[in-house]
Amino acid sequence: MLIDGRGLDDGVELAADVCIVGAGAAGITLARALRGSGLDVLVLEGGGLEEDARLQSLYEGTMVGLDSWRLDRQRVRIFGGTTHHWSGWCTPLLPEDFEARAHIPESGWPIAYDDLAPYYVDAAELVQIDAGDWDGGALAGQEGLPVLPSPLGHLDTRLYKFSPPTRFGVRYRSDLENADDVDVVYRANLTHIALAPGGGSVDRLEVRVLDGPAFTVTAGRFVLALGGIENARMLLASSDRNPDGVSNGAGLVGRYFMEHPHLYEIPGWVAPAGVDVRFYEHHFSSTLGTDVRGGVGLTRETRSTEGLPDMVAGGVPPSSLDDPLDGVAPSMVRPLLRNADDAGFRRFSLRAEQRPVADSRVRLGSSVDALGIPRVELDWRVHPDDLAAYRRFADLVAAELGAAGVGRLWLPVDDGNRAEWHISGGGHHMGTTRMGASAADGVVDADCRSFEVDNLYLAGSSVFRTGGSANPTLTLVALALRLADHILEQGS
Amino acid sequence: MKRPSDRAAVAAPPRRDAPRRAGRREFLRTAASSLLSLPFVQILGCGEDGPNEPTPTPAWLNAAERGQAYPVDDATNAIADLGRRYLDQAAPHRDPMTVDALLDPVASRINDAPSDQAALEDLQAAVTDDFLALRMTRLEGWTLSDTELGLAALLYVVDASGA
Repeated sequence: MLIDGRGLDDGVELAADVCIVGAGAAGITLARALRGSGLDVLVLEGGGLEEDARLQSLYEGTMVGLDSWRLDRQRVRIFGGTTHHWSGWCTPLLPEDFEARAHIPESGWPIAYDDLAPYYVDAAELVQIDAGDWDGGALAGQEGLPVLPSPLGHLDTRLYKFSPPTRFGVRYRSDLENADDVDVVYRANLTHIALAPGGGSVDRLEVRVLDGPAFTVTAGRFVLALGGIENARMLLASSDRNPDGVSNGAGLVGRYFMEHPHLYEIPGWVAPAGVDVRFYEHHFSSTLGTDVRGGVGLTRETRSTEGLPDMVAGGVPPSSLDDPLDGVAPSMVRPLLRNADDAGFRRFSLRAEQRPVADSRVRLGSSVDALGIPRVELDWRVHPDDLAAYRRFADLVAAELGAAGVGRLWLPVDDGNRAEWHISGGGHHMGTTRMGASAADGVVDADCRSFEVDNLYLAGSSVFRTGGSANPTLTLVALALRLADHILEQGS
Repeated sequence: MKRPSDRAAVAAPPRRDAPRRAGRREFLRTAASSLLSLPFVQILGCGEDGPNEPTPTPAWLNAAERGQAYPVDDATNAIADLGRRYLDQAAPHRDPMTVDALLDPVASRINDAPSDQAALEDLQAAVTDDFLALRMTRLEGWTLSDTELGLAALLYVVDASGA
């Protein structure tokens, strides 16, 4: 059942076996998976069923570090969450992304890729893509499309599959609306997490409808699925018992914020006429029945040997550029290029993993929103070593292009000069309630359960310990499915 | 000690028994255009040409055929300018030892080749080897092989010398 929070009585107490806060990709996935289990599920969603500017403004905040986007534009406060404007890119994390890598400090999830692999299959179904394997080179071979040659053996062909994209609030609305054991209260904003005496469990949630009633929720288990920024915000803001907030004994909540640094349309390469890059362009795969595109990454061995985070170069559709050469080619080189079509000049985007950095963080600002909750200050930082790593990645790609005779790379940035990189984000907010092997190095354990508050779980990309270069939606859906299995195993 | 402006001297007279070879400056312009425009314009097939065949002319130099081609001088001047910037970056004080180190490997390949065609092929192979060995230099955003930049620098020096 879907319930408009404005119709609730002020001061009412709602109860459930499981309370899920947030109806985005993670929250809806979890609620769907718990249907018919015998558990009484209550979902709270701060947004409405339609976009609402006042509700959306609750996401306003300040970027105090790398400043590439507005906090109230990259997330959507609506039933369905940010899938409402998701572009549909899907690819899983790599197996090595879960491992402790010597060159990525504080890497190493307490779960392995194999723990998540079966959930990736189910997640693929939910986002309406082919659930088969992710071997880009193999698919290109099946489709008769060439991949870029790699005479030095550094290049790895990645595969992205495209969701339609699935708008979770549209596609799965009826599933929740018709479920006897699931209630969704929308326009219901979490304002406070109240801990029980002793602080070891959540006693109740305090919830308020903007310009409407306030009420409380009690439950056996609580799952925060508010997104990579809001999860941390609400833990930090619930500071009546502890000034550092909830589940923050190690001071990790809000820290290790990660994005995928993107370099859009800055780098480029020139290719001789006839170089076939169709596999790297968005196209329909008749083999998979899904829209796909390839990406250029580095092999596991090269990343390990070179000590590099993951990074993928992908094409930028020519149609997105009026003049691909405009402002790019130095005047001395431009005459050689003649024009974009003849020269085969192509821009591409780079999407990179960043090392977890403790000082890259979500914290609370001094101003408050309309509900009285402190607004977010997001201090997004990228480690200087990452910039050198991105440059090294580009050099290796340049060497491969040159050695294979298929082009030259253009990337007008130097190591370590952050301003030159024009880094932007992809709306991928990760790491602020990271998964760890112990309370000393994580907010949640391998089951996404708080180390300190035993009936509190965190869902979504905030639990990512490292981000890889993969777009996070598929992984966070897979993690939500795995969390559902854990909750079901626990029973009521 | 040779000064940079003497670089044209590296282009030795053709051997008496050697196949016909273009003038040094002409060859440098063609070679630089061929190699440096290879990535930018198109791959030039030269492997099937015999050593006595004329140096292949980049298709884009045929303005009538290509229609929109830039004038030859614009392209070669651009390459020479690339060479100047390479020298500015790698040998900002034009130290002769440093300049020699940048130019001699390329000049030697040209001088030691039995024909223009062979020189072109040797230079092309050297460019590939550079990339395989990561002997590359970043210049104005481009990541180019040391051989192709040395060739551009040599063209610049020869042009500047008026040889």
